[in-house]
Amino acid sequence: MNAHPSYLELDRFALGGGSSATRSHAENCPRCGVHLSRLAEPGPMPAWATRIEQRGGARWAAWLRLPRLVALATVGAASAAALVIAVGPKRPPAYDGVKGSPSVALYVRHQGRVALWDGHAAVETGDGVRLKLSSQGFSHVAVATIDGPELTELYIGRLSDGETLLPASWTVDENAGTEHLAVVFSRRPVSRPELRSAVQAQLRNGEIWATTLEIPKRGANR
Amino acid sequence: MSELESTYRRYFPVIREKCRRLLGDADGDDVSQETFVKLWRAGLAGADPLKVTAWIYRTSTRLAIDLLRLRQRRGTPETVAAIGGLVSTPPSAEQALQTRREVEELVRLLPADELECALLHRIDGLTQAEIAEVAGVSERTVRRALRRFEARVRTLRAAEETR
Repeated sequence: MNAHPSYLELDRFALGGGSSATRSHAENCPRCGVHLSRLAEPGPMPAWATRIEQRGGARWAAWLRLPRLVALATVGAASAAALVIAVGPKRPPAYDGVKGSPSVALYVRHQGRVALWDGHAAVETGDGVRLKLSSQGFSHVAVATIDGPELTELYIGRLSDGETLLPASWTVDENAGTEHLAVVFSRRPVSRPELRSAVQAQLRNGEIWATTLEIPKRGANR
Repeated sequence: MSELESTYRRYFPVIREKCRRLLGDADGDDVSQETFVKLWRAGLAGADPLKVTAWIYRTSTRLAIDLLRLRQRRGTPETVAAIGGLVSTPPSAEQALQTRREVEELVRLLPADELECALLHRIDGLTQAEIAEVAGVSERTVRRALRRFEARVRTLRAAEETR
């Protein structure tokens, strides 16, 4: 029997997943530790990689509903619901939230210009959307969209201390409506049922912290 | 940092290490590059990392098999070196040579799906359930493929011993 986790399991652990058994093993296994340390060394981006962006950007087909919008939302510790804070044009694009609570900033790229969401404006087809998070001690995050009973995971990963600009971004499609974007902070990786429960209950405690942004979309399809 | 760069920093080390295990540094880096370009163009940058890693393992393994078979058809001297990379940590030179011969023969003889299961199991240490997830087949199919693979290895070893 192979005592080591598979390389796939180790890779997933490095990306924020993996089980507690994998974590325990990795902390005490020199071979697996060497592998994980190599994963932390991407090196400088080579020329061939920089050129591929010129041939077309990435899209994620599963989430093509958001209009262009840059949003800033904070989660209040004593609040029962997510607090979406509008950021006026004279206000610096900074986080705003209750001290000690995680916060979520939504950035929208429209025609090459990036701005913070004002909390009300609809996003438009083709806009890019990206999240910046302040972890406040939470080590993991999951992002999902909610469409009625359907919950679609968009991103699962680890958070560093302080602020984290998620590597994922999404493009808004042509469908009009409201996008419900759930962000769940946690101190360990959460399963899909746990994620669903946290979003439904908007759980906020020392182990898990959920909020949902409601983002209007002004698409061509109504 | 651009989305492309953050995607590169996040996923390329996983791809690079996967391909180097399978092919060694030189060929591994070629397949790594091709795999990353495919990942980016597939729009997977923001997808669930569990799905992305399964995609990486499936795609890079299939690209590696294609490369190995292409080398064999061309009969280039690099074939043996490339296949030698399949031996992750050979315990001895004799065993490394034996495994190299086995794999060289197997690349030529095995169906691609069987070889894919075998490489994921032997080189990457994936469980049958993980292979099933990566390859998009049932665990039963994986078990059967691995049994066939082991049978072929036994046959090859027996043939070697009678020479």
